[in-house]
Amino acid sequence: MTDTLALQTTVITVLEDTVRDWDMDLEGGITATTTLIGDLAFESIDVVQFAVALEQALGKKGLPFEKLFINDGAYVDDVSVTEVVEFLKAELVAG
Amino acid sequence: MSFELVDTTYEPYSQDPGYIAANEALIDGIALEGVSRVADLACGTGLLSQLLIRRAPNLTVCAIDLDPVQIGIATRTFEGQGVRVVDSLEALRAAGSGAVHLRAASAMELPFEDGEIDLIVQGNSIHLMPDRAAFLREVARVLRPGGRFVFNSVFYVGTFVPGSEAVFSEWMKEAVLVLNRMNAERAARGEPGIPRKRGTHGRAFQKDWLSAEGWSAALAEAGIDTISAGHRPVPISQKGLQLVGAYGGLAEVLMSGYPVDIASECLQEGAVRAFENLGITEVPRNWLEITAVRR
Repeated sequence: MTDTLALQTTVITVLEDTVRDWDMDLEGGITATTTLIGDLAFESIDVVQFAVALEQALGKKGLPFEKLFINDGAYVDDVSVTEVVEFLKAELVAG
Repeated sequence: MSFELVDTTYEPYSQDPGYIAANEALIDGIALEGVSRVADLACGTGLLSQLLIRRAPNLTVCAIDLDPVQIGIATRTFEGQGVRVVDSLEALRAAGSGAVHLRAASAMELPFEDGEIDLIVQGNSIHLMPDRAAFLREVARVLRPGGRFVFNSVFYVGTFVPGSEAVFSEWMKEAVLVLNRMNAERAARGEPGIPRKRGTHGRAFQKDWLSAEGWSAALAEAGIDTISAGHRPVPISQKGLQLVGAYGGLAEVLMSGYPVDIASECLQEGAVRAFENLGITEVPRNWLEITAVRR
């Protein structure tokens, strides 16, 4: 799956499953601009559970999420849905 | 595989050969001429103090840690090694040399007089100080002019040896898969899932790690000048990573909100599975080492 819209739908579906029981009030729901930390208040383990759930949804194990979450030796500040989609597209195209 | 008897104190990891070697290197590099009074901050099970006393038995060392369990372990270790342990700071001052005092106390409010300490050591915990600037001011307050502050940390910008990040990512993903398996087994038995309480720790990524240069700037602000700053690559074995995962203090951060014994079990089994998946026997991780002097 390398179609951007299909990937975005998958990412948003996984996120919706992740936060379903969190009692969050997200105006407009999860969109392309939603961020994991700022908007969804992800803790470290949420990030890992999200990554695992994405790998299972895509049927692709071993995706290098560290490329998305670590930059120049330090963790990034935040990640948006669009950035997740772009990462997945690049990795899935690369094979 | 089962890890039902999980020791979640810092003690198992503090006995890991790689961990000991990293701290031996730190202590062996300290110039001890003119040093008599030492403070070991957030001492855990007291490894740095033990290494110092082994090098220089005449030192007086006050080792503090927030956790009385760690202090109890450290006290028993020193007593078992025949080191003189005194029960108060006053007794330590009166002893003059060759004694240790251990107490449960916060590194944010040091129990020392201004300028009383010749050397402060801190092993792999400076990143945990809740108010960095206030902590460094407190360090500067109790150090005499010319006194040294020596610390290491494995949580800083630069800790990941390039290419090794994937191992730690795999470790965490495998730990989550172990957790998922546990939940599936519970569901199959008709039991509720493993409970989780969100909000027990901060949000992801907001670790506020500093680089070596960042630490030097923060130290300078407090009146402490960096003499040397370096990175020491230390290999972590599969067993070492299991021991890291077993430590409850880290498990409750990495898998925040889950029962710490279950989190620890997941991280231990995750370490085994990650090493097997990747076909590796060890992974390197950089330790930051800084030596600084009070102006």
